[in-house]
Amino acid sequence: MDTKEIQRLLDYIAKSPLAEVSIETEGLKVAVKKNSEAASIVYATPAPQAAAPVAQAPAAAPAAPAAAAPAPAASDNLVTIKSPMIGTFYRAPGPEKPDFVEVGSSIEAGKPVCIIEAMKLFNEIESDVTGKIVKILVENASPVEFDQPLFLVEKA
Amino acid sequence: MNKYQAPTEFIGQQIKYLETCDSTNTLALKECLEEDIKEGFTWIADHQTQGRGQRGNTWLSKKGDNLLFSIYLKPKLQNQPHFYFSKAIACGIIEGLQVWSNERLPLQIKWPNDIYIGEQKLGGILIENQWAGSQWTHSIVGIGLNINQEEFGDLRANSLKQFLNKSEHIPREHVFHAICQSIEKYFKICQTHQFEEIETFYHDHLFRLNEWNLYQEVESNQIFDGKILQVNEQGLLLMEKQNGYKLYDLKEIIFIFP
Repeated sequence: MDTKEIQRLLDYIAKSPLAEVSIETEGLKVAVKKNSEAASIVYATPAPQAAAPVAQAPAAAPAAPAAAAPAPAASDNLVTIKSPMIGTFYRAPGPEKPDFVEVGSSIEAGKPVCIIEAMKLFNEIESDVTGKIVKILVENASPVEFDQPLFLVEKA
Repeated sequence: MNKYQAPTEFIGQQIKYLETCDSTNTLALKECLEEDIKEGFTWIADHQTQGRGQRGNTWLSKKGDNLLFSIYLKPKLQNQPHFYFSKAIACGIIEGLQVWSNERLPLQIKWPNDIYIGEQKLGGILIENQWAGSQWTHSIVGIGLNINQEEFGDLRANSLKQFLNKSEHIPREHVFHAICQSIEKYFKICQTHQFEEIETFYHDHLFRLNEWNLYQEVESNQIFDGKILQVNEQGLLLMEKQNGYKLYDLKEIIFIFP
């Protein structure tokens, strides 16, 4: 992971509602915690900068889009798969079956990623995006809320 | 024409009959994506080698004795409590069995959706839904009912044949037709969101409704006297206790049988 990628990741985390993110890939481990006031101040600064060019004279415009461009790209590329209901999150189709996906798995739209069980209704959730699983945000067999992010996916 | 083909609009109209398969639900989940499969298509098996109950539980059935089938449906409950679908299917099975029997069998629904005859289990439902992201695309409703089986080992289960003390085998297709008709009725009611009708029938046939009985709370391990008041739209069990009221989720409470 190079500096640019790390910057993109931090931008994404800053904009996401997640308080804490840890990512582990081969040879790299990143853990970011976003619970202090300081953190929100740091990440709040880019916003006025990005907004400023709109009000500025056209002469300043050419420079601004170049600086602002990477941030939207980052949040566009990372998406979450959310739970469509309240229930219990299962990573495998059955107790002795292999997990649907792991961190790093490539997924296509239509590929099942988990089961959410609610009152004996077993709901197999298929991804609606194509890409790569970056992070699994919920522990197996734990309760989930409606709209809770389950997977972080880097869109292909 | 297959003798199982039901006199309905769509449920059980198209049938695939198998002597044996691993599980009708597993097969249906795979085959329902094929082109010519219409809503209501039903897979029936004489025997399942890997019949499934609730997550990981197996469902045992003697070959050729029982009704084992799975129906392909497309519920329109996107922004409604999904549990109405489960309630509607249970209502359909109960009413179908009543119509078939022409008499008032003591049929009840044990929360959340087991089919009981008296104090014994007659059948079960396994519903598997497919979601494309946040869109509920379709469901496979698996139903297993004990029709002619005579041995249940230590299980608290019974069959129609045994309960009715019949000497002859019950023709399974007759039961199947009646059930398909009633499931279709309640499924349509569910599709048009007339939930009151489902709620009334479900609670009229709810096992242990408004009776004091023994239960065990899983978290505290405590055995207590409780009275079932309602199964709410989320499917949670509302229980009156000596010291107040409490809502229970599926794995939080065990029914104690004498």
